[in-house]
Amino acid sequence: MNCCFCNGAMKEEIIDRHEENLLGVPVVLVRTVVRAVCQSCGEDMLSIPDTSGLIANIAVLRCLLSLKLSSAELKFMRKALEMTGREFAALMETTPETVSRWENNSQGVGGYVEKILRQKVCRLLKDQAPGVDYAPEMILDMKIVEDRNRSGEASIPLVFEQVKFRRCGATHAERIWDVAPSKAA
Amino acid sequence: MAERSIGIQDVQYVLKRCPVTEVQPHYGGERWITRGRDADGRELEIVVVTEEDKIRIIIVTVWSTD
Repeated sequence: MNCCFCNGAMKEEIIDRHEENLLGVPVVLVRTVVRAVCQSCGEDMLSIPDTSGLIANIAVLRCLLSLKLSSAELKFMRKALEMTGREFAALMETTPETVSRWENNSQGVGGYVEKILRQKVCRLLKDQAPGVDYAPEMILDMKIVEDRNRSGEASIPLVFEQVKFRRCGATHAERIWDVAPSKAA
Repeated sequence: MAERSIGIQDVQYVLKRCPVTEVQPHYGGERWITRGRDADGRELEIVVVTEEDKIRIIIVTVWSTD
């Protein structure tokens, strides 16, 4: 690969632990992100594989954690579904104004509505997140916990790595995002 | 991108839906400029370089034109 600014040769290395903030949602990527540094101009570039899969995994995993979703995370969920505020409001059978208030932290989402929201996000994205175990009961039986120290920001970083995975009936393995073991965090 | 409050999701949203508005020669290859609105209605302009030997798009820069 050559530098896209000066066409110089680039030196690549895999980063052990890369911290990324996806618009207010912190995530740690273990031994997956490649940093390339141009040997001529010094420009550096990060390469994150399968960003669609990563976003789906983050959304599904976060929906399965009992900590109440922050306003930044609610916005992240909508964007993970690639929906406008109006489309997301239609999905949730509410108004775009209500979605806007959720995302701007001026009106919290009720626990029951949040459970429905989590179910819908998981149902729509679970096929893109085979590395995360999901069953509807996990959310139905969940007690959503409110963290009184949080404002609108997301807090817990989710940790992912890429692993080889072969779907049932498939002849070839593919690389998918998986939750990294806790020692990697 | 983060300092402009533009995330990976916003860039992907535009790249999947919006047309390439300009193609420029770039070191024997091409540099594409695409322009369109993200899920929040912001107009973004994105400069990308494609690679022939790998399925990979390099995002050179992105900014909001609003």
